[in-house]
Amino acid sequence: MSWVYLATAIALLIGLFIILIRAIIGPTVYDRILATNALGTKTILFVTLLDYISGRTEFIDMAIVYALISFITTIAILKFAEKGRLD
Amino acid sequence: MLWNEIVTTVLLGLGCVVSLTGALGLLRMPDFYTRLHTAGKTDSLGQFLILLGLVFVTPDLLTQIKLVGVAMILMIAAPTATHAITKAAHLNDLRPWTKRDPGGEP
Amino acid sequence: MNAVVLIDTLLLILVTITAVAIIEVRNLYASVMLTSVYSLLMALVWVNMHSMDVAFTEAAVGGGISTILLIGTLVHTAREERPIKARVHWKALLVTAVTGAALIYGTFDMPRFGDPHAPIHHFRVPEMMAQTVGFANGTKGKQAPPEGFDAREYRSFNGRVADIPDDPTDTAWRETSVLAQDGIIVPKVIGHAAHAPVHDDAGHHPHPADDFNGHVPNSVTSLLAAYRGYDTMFETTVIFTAGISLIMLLRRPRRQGEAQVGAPMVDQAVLRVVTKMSVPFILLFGLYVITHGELGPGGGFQGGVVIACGFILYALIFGRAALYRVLPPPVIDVLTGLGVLLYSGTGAACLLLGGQFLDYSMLNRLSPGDGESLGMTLVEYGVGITVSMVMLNIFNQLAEEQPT
Repeated sequence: MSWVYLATAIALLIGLFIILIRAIIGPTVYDRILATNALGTKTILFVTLLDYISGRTEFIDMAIVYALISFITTIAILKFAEKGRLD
Repeated sequence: MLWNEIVTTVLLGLGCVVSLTGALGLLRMPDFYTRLHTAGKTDSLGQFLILLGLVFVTPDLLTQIKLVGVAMILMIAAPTATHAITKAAHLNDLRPWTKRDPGGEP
Repeated sequence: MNAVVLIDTLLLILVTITAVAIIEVRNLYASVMLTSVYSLLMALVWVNMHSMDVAFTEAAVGGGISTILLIGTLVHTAREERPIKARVHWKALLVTAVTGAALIYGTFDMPRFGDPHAPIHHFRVPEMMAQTVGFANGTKGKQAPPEGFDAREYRSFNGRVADIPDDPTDTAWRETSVLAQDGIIVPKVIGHAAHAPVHDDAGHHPHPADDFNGHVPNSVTSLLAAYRGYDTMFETTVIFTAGISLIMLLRRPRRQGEAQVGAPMVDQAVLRVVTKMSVPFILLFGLYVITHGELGPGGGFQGGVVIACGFILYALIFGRAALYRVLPPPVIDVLTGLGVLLYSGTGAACLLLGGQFLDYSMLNRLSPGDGESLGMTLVEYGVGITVSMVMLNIFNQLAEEQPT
């Protein structure tokens, strides 16, 4: 069963790599914001998978925190792109 | 393998295929709005499939509830973020790529 | 090559690519976003090494607060970096190379990664690990000790270091654990408290005092708050000092009648509704992280940052004026000091009750383990309050400045 987790983790890493390329070369700023948002979601999935690979079950709190933090960061970046200030 | 491991393998495989396709589309699509389609939609669906697949192999109930909780949070937050990005891009006059434009971004 | 090493290698390649991109990309906005990506990937590296508290802090602080504050700084600077002529600064390169070489040379003396014979595993860790292992300090615990286990032998450290043979091709010693070679078996660590909290009303505690009565299975929190309580108190004071210096440097007295000009995003219906649904949940989850820090990953710093992020989300969508109605700046200032007061006040209370400063076992005479657990909860709350209010203060100051 652990090979399934490992294969999924490798697939997610390949996805992370591809999205990172887009975050670096994206010509407009919204491409980069989109890539950062997608990277946050893939990170949450990766954390949950690492939990199952190692056999312990205490990583779920971290996944919840990641989800909330990446949402707030995306909103902050968007507010700056739209209004020019962080008020 | 037991039945729950088969279900988990199927769901994890589907989730991986969806996520990888979305990431590939993010790289290959010519314009921002097309990339938004691939990344935004496959993001929300892929995370739901993978987290739902992991529910079936969890031994205790509390972790299962927390996994479903994370899936629900992401189900609300990820489409909201995609909507906010689209609205910001549209309000800042980012025009979509039409057939008359030459080429398009690589 | 097992799973951990493979994933670690791939993640470190991604981290290196991101780090090079942060330096090379000219657009400062993109650099800030790539910094947040870097923090997320580094948090994944920590998760891979099973150090959950560090990963928690890296994700919350690096991926969340740090990015928001960097964007607040970006309001006042240009969007693009001015191009500089590329030339090599030989003196700086030499100093950096010599310092790096000295640091790497210094790591040769450290014990091997995960070596059970390292001095830290014999001197103090057995008491902290007694939460999860149980029988290492004499309590029965939930698992029986393995065959031939001698607790005194396990805990005695007479200065032995690992006997590494001189022949570099003789690598058999790496296959087995050093303690197993000496006839001392390494106990298996289970992921939760070895025994449920034991309360005896006869006045005598049936377990050794260092066990914290099974209340604190998270060894990181017990080390931070009990064994190194002084360090954590001074760290909290450092954060408090940073908040004070910010107030002294950046805060200007507000003239009467000056309106709070802001740019709230209240007109976006979807964001407004989702924020109204999420902010109570985020604040409650921050409190959960602070309180649950003794039993699992978490603690005061992480929970404080999550609470600050909840308030920042409210300020982003509804405007700073709405946040000032909920949390006026005088209240933020008072709460900043209240956290440090709570921490040192707990220490002083232990002093007044007859023990030493920060000796939490004085808080509960009948069962010192429960006293230790209560003391740790109080100081974690102190840390959480100070950290969240200082982060919110920094955000308020950065957002208040007029954009140049």
